[in-house]
Amino acid sequence: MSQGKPVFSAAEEKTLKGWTTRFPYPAMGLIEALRQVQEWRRHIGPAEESRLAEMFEVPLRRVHEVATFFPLFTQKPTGRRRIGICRGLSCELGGSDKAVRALKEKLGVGPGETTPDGEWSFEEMECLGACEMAPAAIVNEELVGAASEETARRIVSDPGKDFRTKTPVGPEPKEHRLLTKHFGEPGLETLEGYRKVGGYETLKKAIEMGPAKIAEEVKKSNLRGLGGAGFPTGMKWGTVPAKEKMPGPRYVVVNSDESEPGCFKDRVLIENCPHGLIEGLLIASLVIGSEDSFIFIRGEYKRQHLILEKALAEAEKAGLMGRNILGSGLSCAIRLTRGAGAYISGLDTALLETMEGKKAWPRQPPPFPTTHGLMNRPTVVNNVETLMMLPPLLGIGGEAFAAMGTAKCGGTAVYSISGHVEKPGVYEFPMGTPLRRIIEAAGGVRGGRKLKAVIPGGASTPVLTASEIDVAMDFDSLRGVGSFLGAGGIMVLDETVNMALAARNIERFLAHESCGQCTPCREGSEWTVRILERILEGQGCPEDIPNLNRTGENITGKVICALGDTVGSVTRAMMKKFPEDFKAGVAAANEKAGAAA
Amino acid sequence: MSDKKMISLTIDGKPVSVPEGTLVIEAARQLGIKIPHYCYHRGLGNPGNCRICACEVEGAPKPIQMSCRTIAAEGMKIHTSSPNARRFQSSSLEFHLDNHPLDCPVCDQSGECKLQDYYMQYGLYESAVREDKLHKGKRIPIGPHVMLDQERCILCTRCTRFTAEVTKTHELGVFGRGHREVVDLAPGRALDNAYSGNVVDICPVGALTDRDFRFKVRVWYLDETESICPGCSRGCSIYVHTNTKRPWHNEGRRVARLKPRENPEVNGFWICDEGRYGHKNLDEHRLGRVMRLKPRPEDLSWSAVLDEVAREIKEGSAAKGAEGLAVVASGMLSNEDWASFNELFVRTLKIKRFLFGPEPDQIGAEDDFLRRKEKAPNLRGGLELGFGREIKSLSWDELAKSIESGQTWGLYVVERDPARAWGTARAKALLERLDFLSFQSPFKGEAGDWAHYRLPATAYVEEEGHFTNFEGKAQKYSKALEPLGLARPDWQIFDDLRSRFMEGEGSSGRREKAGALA
Amino acid sequence: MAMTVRPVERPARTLKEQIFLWEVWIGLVVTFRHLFVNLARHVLRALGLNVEPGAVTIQYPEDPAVLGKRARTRHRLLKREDGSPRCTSCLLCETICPAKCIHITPEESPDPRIEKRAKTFDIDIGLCIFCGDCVEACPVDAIHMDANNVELSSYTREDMIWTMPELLGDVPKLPRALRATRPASGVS
Repeated sequence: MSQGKPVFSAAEEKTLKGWTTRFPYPAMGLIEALRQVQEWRRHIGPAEESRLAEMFEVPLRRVHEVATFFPLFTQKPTGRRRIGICRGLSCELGGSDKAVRALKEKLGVGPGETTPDGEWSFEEMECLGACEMAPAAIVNEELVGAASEETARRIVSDPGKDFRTKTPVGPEPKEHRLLTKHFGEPGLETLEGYRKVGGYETLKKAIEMGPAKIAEEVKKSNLRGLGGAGFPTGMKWGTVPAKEKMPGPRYVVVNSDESEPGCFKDRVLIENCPHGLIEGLLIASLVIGSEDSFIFIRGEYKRQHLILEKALAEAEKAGLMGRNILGSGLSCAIRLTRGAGAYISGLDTALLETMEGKKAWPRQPPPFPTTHGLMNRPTVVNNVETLMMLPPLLGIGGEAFAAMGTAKCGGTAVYSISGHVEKPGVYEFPMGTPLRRIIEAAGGVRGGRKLKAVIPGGASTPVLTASEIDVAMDFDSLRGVGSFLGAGGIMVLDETVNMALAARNIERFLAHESCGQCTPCREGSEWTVRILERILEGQGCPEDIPNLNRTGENITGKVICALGDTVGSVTRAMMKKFPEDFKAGVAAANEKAGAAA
Repeated sequence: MSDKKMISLTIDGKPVSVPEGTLVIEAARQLGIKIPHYCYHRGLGNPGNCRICACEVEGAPKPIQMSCRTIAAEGMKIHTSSPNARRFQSSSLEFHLDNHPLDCPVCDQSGECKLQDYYMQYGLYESAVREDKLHKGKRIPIGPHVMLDQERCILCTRCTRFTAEVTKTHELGVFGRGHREVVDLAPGRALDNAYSGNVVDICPVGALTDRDFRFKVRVWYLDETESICPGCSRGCSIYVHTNTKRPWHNEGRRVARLKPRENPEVNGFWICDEGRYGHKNLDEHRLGRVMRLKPRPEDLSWSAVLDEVAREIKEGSAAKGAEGLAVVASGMLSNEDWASFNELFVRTLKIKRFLFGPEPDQIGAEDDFLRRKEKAPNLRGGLELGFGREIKSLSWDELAKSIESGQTWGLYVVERDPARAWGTARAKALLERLDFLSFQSPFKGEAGDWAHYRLPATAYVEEEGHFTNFEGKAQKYSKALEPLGLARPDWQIFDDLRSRFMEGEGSSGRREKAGALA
Repeated sequence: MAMTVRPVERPARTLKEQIFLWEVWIGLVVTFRHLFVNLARHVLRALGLNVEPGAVTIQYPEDPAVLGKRARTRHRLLKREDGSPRCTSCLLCETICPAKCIHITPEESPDPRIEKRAKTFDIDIGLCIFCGDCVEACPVDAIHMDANNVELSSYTREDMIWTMPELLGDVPKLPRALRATRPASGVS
């Protein structure tokens, strides 16, 4: 129904139509097309949605669902520049509220508002994957660095300037560093620099070994999924049906959505060594038999997206990616595709939904993605770090890799560490290293203060007390003490932290990111936040703590995905280990009531 | 291959055997065990997002599972009412109620609301919410027949799945994310497809309510009767809900609403809006008095009027010829009616000229789902007796010409308004030329004003009978209400009239059990 | 099954009982006892002695009737702070009423947060059994039986029907025959 002026100009139509053919299925380009419209028009209106629905041959309802689900898309026009201050736990502890106040003064508008001249929109955002630069600031999807009050003002007066600092990668000495061994060497992010340190040699070796042998090595190596689930990679690959059983396309998707508060290692890995990821992905694609592989990267990693684009172009030009790789007859095209600001897109089935151009509601296996994944084809979703382990793994051999770690977790892991430490950054240690050691490598607690609590694997993992930091940092040991390794995002909290505040921060994040599909998470997360806010205001009632416990138990394990499980377990763990911080909020109310009576 | 392997399992201690691939919630239903559920619907799939159908699976690593997402396995031991299962059914209910508005006094769903019902069965806890609840849109008319209240919505997605998978019209979606999600129309759309009323049935709560039924009467005042929709030749199974207990409600109408009745062979779980909202006429412009209108208006008894009608027919046939008498009927007659109709007009009176074809006044919209273009339920019932086969229907044009030419002097009209086919002016002109016009119908219509004799018949809700649908399936409908005034079923009128022509037979005919004419 | 027969002894009436005059005498004794005891109490109290007060007859209707604190009297519909009736026409009182004497018709309320209100609300006091179930059933505390009015007789059955404005107290209850205009809210 085109009446009157067409919605898009001829050139715009051409660009948008391009997205219908860029991917194997037209609807897969919908989110990129929406991105484009958001960029041009600074919002997505009903006319634009209608036209896109026609173009991509999907119902209008679906386009509207996607446009209202992801935080990147707005229904009302934003400013030309969108500045966001992260309110993740490390950033809140790092002073994000001060940055917000400074920006409010400088811009004259508050969070969620746009300046009258239409130049700036100001938002509080969830974890941007830059916890070492707390409090992190982002402008139009490009990280700009740590926003102290001063820097926040300068970002506005000097837009386009990059205030980022180089993220420390450790530890020194490098003896146990497998993946990050060459980080810091000049030009590592270029093809030439990567080749200089032996890059793509393993790819050649892998082509000769063939899929079966590689799979064997990976199984032997005890490599576990390093995106959070910790599932043995070899076993996951093994569930993909053989080509004879299920002929047709199959895919490998790199999960570079990294939105867990406390985790930023994937970002650092891509910044330092994009070709490492490409090589790992090519090896995995070989094993699975995927000729079309994808890197799904979160929208807020725009700079990293450009780095990967450049590296992919280099690789393709050198015949390392695309058709007939290194003359072997094997083909694998790698394409980049971006998320649109939702944490839940980092969950494998929700990621696939996002890639298919739908809102990111997780699926309920069975069937599992390895048999029915992207567009119902066998799909393996692996984390960035997991795939980047493949070249070094094959380099030293599966057995040696396994020997570096613990009995069931092979090799090393790259841990992000942030919060109240001297040198927040990324540190690679063998699996099973005591947590204490990693904190020491990061310079210990900032300012020589006393340690109160450590969150070992990212905001969704149950907290540990200061006396529990001798635990070995691997999947099984942490499970043994009632927590998880997750994606290894360590957050260090010193004695100044009120754990009720930390709980509220994380639950608020979860309530904001809950996809809303299932009732316990959707209602329970928001309710938990409200109770915690009352407690923080000193308005808690005696039933609040038992209610939080009871609700938490009623959510964990009864929901569709792990985000929901987390909603129920985070606060319960904090209340169990730091009850005084919560009781204080209840006591204050009772005092007031007592005084008034 | 229809033979699936059978699986045996135990639910609440009772054994049951089901085909491979059956869901646990279905296996339980077979045993008559009810597990609470919102998002699951046998016609709309099992997304498993409400999380209330929790059951306990003995010995499983994760004992609490959702019974609508769990496929029955050999030897499974399921407990649907163990303390653990009840705890999670109750806690899921609590989450649904956390932000639910306290609308029961003003909500039409009250009395048939699954939040109320499950609370009484599985809840009965004290509310722990101390905060203000979330506010969303209220009283939003989203279509001609449906009202939306976003606060009451529990986001089970039944309605969005209906518009996506059943009508494939995609008017509704769940927009936003997390606790701010709402069900709403896609921008610029309205819920105006031909089956929009079904979303009200499937909505377990009062989020989607019927605008036609809004505030008319409380559901606990209603009686329910099984019936068949007379809207078209599909013959969808329905329930008729009537209010006779509190006649000052519902504007004095007896029929409150029609709802679909599950019938896997005919209409599945659904009915169309035309059928659903086609009940208003049952309480309007009804005939209840037995009357002669011409030459002198007078209320008569049945016996008196049938004597007069019989005499008119005998005298008129003798004077002007029996071929001048024609009969207008339609597929509105039940199988029982058709049988008596046949006995009276074909076998006894030897009438040769009939008009019963649906064109043009009983032809309407058709689609590839439920609606059929013949808007009469039982043409097929007449077909069995030869109507439409050996006996051909006149067209309205042919009948009009024969009246104008004088060939037709008398007309017996049954359950049809010639004014709808000919238009008011032409119908009046034609019908006033007749020497004899007997009008037998539940509804006055326009022609009822121009008849010589007006015989009130019962509507389908006031009698018991059978309609045969277009596929040949004979289906029973039951009596929901008492007849109005002196109205009688059509077959009874025909039988009584026939007895006036049978010398030596009993005064009133016996009704033949003609139910299952197939 | 064999029937069990149990002979019951009926004592024969004595002469005293048959004549009945004794009972008459006892009745008179009781009545006059009340008279003299009350008289004595009134006299002694008048003289200043603190004995139990004597019984007093209330001269009703000149003196008002004494009702218990929780006595159920005529119904009263309550209003919100803004003056609108609290009743949301939920029909719970109409449903629970054992005498079916409440007749309500609902309508839309202009306020979307309230949605529903009563168009008409009639109680037939002639049918009401004054059980108080309607007050118990109401979820919004819209109806009380505390108008403290038990003088509800009328000359016609029709006049025993109280309409909403009358129950709200907005309009005085007058016999229908005396009313010049119809009341604002619908009549049943």
